[in-house]
Amino acid sequence: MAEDLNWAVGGEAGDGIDSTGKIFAQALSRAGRHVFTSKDFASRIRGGYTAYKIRTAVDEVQSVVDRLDILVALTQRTIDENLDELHDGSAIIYDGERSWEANIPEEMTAVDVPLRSLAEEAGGAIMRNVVALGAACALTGFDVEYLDESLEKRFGGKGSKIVENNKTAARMGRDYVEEHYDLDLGYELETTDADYVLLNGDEAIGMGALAAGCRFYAGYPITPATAVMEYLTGRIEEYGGHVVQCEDELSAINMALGGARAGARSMTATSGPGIDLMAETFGLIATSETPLVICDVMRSGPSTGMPTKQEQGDLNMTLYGGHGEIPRFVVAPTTISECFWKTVEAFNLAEKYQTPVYLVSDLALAVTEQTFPPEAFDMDAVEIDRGKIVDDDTVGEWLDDEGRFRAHANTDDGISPRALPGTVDGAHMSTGLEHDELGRRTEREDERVEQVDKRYRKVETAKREEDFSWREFGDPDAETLVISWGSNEGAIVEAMALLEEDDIDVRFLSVPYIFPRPDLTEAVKAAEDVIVVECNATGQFADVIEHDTLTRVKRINKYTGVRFLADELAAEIREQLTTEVPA
Amino acid sequence: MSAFNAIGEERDIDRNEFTPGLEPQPTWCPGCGDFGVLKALKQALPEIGKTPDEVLTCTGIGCSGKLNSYLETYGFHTIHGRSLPVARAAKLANDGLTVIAAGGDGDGYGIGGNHFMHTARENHDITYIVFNNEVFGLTKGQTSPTSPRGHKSKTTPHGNAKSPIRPLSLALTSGATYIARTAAVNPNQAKEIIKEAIEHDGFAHIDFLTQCPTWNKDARQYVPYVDVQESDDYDFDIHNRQEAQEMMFETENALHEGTVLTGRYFVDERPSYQQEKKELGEMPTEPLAERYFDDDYEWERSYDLLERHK
Repeated sequence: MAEDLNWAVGGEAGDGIDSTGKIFAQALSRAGRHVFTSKDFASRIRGGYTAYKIRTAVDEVQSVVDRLDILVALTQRTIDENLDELHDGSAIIYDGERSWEANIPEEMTAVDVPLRSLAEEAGGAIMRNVVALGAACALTGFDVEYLDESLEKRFGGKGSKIVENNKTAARMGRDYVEEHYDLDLGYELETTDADYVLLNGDEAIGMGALAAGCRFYAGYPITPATAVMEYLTGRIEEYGGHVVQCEDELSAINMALGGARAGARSMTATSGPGIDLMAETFGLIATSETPLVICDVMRSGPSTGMPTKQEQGDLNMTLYGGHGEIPRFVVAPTTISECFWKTVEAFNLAEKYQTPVYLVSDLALAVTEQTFPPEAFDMDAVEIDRGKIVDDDTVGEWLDDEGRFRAHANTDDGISPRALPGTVDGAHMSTGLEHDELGRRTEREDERVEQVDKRYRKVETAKREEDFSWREFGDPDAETLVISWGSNEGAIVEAMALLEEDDIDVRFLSVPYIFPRPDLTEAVKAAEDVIVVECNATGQFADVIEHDTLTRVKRINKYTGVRFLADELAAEIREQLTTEVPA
Repeated sequence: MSAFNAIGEERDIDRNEFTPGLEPQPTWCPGCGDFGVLKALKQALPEIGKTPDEVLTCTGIGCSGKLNSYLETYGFHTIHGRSLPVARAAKLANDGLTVIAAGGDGDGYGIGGNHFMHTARENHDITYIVFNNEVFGLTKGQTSPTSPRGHKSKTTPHGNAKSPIRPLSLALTSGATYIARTAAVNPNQAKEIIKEAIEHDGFAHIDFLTQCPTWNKDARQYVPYVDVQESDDYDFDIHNRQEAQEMMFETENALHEGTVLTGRYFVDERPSYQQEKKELGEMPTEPLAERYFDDDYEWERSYDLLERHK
């Protein structure tokens, strides 16, 4: 753990914190180092403090820890907000010429760099953050040349002069520190030849959608899902697709539905408030047996809640939401690379089973940039299964005696043929009303039961044909079983390494399938202690596990708006092992 | 070679093809104006060379929502107020389809009002028929967004205190590029207007007066009607926004004073959503669903996407 470096830049919203952090993260990635980033930010309505944090190591990093080694502070608040994470060996880069008087704890190293003056000298005050990056390079023994490509990528569109000025600014920051300070903080950031890609969860979902053949996206901007739409816009056209920004979420899901009816693989992405609005159409999608992927990038609720904060509060909504009983798939990727693969899988599930799929991600995945080897996204391994779409050759097999297409044919596996509008002889009705095989509305008891059973039979078929299993970590025979879902996987895996140092062995099951889901009964029965970890107040997944396994479990719940940190989580698991399971 | 082999298919079309074997006889009340819309559509579609397999009809909830149960096409019956987003997206995904959206006045001007405004604004290339009977029929006669002031119903026992919406003016203000009003009692005009609306490149809105003999007995049967193009009493240029606006205002007032004015009110050549997006290079020129079926396209692998993240 000590091999990692934890770095951050913080200031006011509007200070360019995000792009500064990303430039540094890219530089580290290009230097063959692993990177895991996180963001502290408030909603922009109020402005205020924001920070971009980077954890970097030569080995893989997959969570945040409660420690900050180098901080670039553009405001005093940046220092104050991070006092808990700063330690005696921390160094703080700040601009002593600014109007605020830096109040830096004595035991820490204060590095006063005239960021603005140096930036002006390099060509403009706007480059002060880049000067700070150069200073950070000097403190960490990181070659400033690694910044160059990132700067070219970021500023290339603004002309070569701007790029050169920025490169100069970075070198001035480095030189200033080297000339004025004789520090050895003990960092010498090692580089490797590894070739990494750096992306966040929303981007991975967008990339997965393109790889899976998504050709129509309809959405309405909402934090933290907007980046999915922004990723697809400008890229999907190259693959023959189109993105629509709608007037509201009601329109977004209904447009996505319309695109799917016409034959394009379709998707919408939103966050909790949008899911609420979409719930009515969700039932229509299932009843009309339309394939659709609906992505919920969760944030803190209820209502407007804390829009820029982490929470896994929508499990019940996606698992049970909507009036009536609605067959569905609920898939929750557990890492950023899994955001890619689960998106691909979601499109296949949707089309094979003509059933809506909730793809449930969260803010922690969405705003985190992480490095992966490119093989983690092996495009050749992407398979596309469009299910039972008929064409002019096969449509005849599904006509009844009078030549009418049986769009909701009551088949053994529950899956009916699908004729896209424009196919000769395929014309049929489809409706949110209960209907018979031909799509004709009905209230006949036998037909009602037949169609309900048929739709749920698709889920049973999927349970047989698909592999809805967990991801397993740790010692399979350990007495302590930790279960989680969604984005907590990385933090738990790192917490396990810490616990191992205390000789605490843990078996960890990371569950990406919420419905249908794997049967955890045997695993739960075999364990001495069962602890369910999730970012919500009531333990929604723990409730589901208790229901499934008829066994009480221990719970670790966090609903502060901040994701789990590896070291904090290790301490909580240790604590749980000393308590009794609730009666 | 398109996967959608019904689109543009050249053959003789029998009007009876549009009558489904499934439900040839609608269950609307005797004397309902909805029969007029159905009849006009069945006549209009074959006359402009459309076959049932290349038409998608999206309906909302209400008596009017049953339209596609009685019309042989690809039919999709949506939920209350949402026919427009479904219809316009289907047209974006495959613009070889003829896409018609239909619903009642509550569906289109009430619960779906925001979609009406924005589908018009964006000028999506679809036809929208609003069955306007000035009342909620299927739920037994409550006041609707087009019910006149003073209209009495179970939800407004002392008479409707609210002024009705102005459907034609709203369509114009929102950006629709073909706007007409017709009536069930005027089948020939209705058929011609539907043909023009379908062939129009852009959002075509038809406010279709459909009398409700069961729940809106107070209302007129929309007779006698006047065709504003044929009558010598009215003279305005349908390509002139201001003149159209005045004529719409007069038409909407006249309805509640007992005079039923119908006809074409506004036609504009503004490019449709898809025309504009194609020109900007933001939308492919072929159907979005096409490449899945076309062997000429090697399945596109996305390695280029990864390069951008290095």
